Amino acid sequence: MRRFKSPCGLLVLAAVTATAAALAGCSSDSTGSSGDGSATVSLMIWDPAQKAGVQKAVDGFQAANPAIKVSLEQVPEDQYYTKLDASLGAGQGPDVMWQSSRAPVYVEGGALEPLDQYIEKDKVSMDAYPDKLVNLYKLDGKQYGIPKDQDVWSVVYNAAVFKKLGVTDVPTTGWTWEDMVRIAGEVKAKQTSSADVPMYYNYDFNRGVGSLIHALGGTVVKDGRGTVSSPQGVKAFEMIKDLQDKLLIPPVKDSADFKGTQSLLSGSIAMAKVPSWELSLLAQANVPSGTFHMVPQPSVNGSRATDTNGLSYVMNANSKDKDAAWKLIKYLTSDAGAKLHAEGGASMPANVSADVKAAYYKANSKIDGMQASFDVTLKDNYLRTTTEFPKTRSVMPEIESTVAGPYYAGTLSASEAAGKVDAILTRSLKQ
Amino acid sequence: MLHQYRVRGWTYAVVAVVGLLVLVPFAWMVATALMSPGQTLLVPPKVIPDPATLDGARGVFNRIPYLTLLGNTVVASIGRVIGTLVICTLAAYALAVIKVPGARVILVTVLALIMVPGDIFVVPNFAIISAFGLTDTLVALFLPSIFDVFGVFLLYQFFRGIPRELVEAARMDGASHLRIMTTIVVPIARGGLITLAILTVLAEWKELLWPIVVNRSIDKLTLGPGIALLRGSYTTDYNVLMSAGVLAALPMILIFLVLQKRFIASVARSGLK
Repeated sequence: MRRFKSPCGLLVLAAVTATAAALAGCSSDSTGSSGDGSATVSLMIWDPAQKAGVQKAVDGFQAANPAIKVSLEQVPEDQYYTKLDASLGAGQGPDVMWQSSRAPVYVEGGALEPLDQYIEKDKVSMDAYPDKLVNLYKLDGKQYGIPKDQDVWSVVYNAAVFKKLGVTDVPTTGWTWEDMVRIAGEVKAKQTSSADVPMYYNYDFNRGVGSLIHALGGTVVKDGRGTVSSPQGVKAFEMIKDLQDKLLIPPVKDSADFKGTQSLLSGSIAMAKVPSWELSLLAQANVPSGTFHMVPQPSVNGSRATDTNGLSYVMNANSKDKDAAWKLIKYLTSDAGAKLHAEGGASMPANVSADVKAAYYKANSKIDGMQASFDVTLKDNYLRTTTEFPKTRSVMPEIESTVAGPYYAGTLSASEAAGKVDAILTRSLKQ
Repeated sequence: MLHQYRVRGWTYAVVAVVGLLVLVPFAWMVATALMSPGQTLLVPPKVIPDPATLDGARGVFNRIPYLTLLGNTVVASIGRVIGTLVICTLAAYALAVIKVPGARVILVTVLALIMVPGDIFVVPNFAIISAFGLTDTLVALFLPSIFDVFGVFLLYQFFRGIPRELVEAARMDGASHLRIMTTIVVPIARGGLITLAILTVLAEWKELLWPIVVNRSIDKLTLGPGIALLRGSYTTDYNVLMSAGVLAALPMILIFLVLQKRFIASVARSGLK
């Protein structure tokens, strides 16, 4: 019973495998170069909303590099990292892929290729990207990823909904949290069904509560400990629960399946806090221009702090054709590549050269007030807790299910919730 | 007479209620499939599509190569059924009829493995398939799952019920194990094999994680991942998603209608579904 001996052939298979691997000199993969200088490079991403944009940039790359064929694969987000774990662990996997705050795990496992020598060889300047994003992928002094984009949060409202309901009090660039609560209340009063909610605001601790704590002047993690049990932490929890209790946002039990951007598109809510990576869905929607307006976060305590994070393109350490993979990474993050990506639908590019920025705002010009709103938000943002402290990433689902859920459902007080969050965060940081 | 009628009335009532409960999700899926995207998001939800549209189904064919995925699912199902039946029959025969040394230990291990969630084998399975150089192929879709411990246990139970006298008589006549297996054991335990085949097809039809992990190209995937690709992270056209659900379930429903009796008999025989 203790012996883990498989009854039906796994052992045999393992033995055959070993033999086959030895004979075949390990795997044969479709990636890699053939003798005539042509190469195939695989690229893996998770976001369906950005696939068209990435494809556009890839098309641009192929036009410039006809000898390299790029196969773009989009894997559902829920399975993305499982697939990476399995394939990278076996020495396979895509040549180039997106990485986020999980990158340190893969660097530690030796699955990612340091890019310093390529950066040096091609004299690529990292000045084109914000320092805090570049540093996210600099581990042990080596650069593993070139920043691809950055997250910018803002509030978008659907002017058609305001007009239909006869609410003239709309969000403005200088609005405050109190203004938001008031406007949402006015919309709520005009909505016909009691099940309707006027707006969407994210509940999740990492981005919703965390941003408010920062705006209030508090911290989530400091000196290796969770610091949510502070007046700011308790207040932040209470502010979001207040939105729920006033029926201004969907109740927590319905929130897991509630998609703010989709509801904004269909006009079932009037406004929503929206991240930059979902904006192309609004900008490319088939609605009359002037429907969507953007304003920054409402100010809290005079601050509009929101969290940011940036994805990057990284290279597989086992890539069969690293030169071709590097060429792809270099192109996708260059001015030309980032511009094409922005035009096809993207989050705010990490490459902030004037050209790329202009292309991004132009591609999203259907959303009024975007540039003004971004200018405000970009100044005030901070690195998301899980981005700044990757160790906390693994406990976020635990915080959501064991603390945030019961708190919003009313079985925990705000100070109890804050205390529990601290205990979980501190534990994760000590691991 | 009256008494009997009352009992039947109650039976019908219970059957009707349970039947409705079972059918409601399917009916909702079909109704949503026939709506426009706007209609799917109404609060409170409307149940009847008005006007009904086939845009959802068209969306499925535009966004994913449905027929390719269906074809792959059929190929993977057939491959998996054949592989599973062969492997499990051989293993169960060794355990139940030959009673190889250590059969009891192996059996306990089989039982233990049934209780382990299959997803934890994804990474080692990938390593094996990758070493064979079989990633991104149709064979990779079903190869690891043909070593089905549950199937071994199921067939073991069936084979154990075969009278030993039959096997011993055949041995006396000089029949080899292979011959005994193919001419005596398998025909007698035919019901068990059919049960296993049906359960295996159902399992392959629902597979999601493994095909995504092992295969890269969309034309090497099955229906499960294909449908998952229709689910956006931030917005989902539920009419398209539900149309895909209907289209994926349709072949199974047709097969069920044709093989209804065998299905029910198989579940009744095994006490499992």
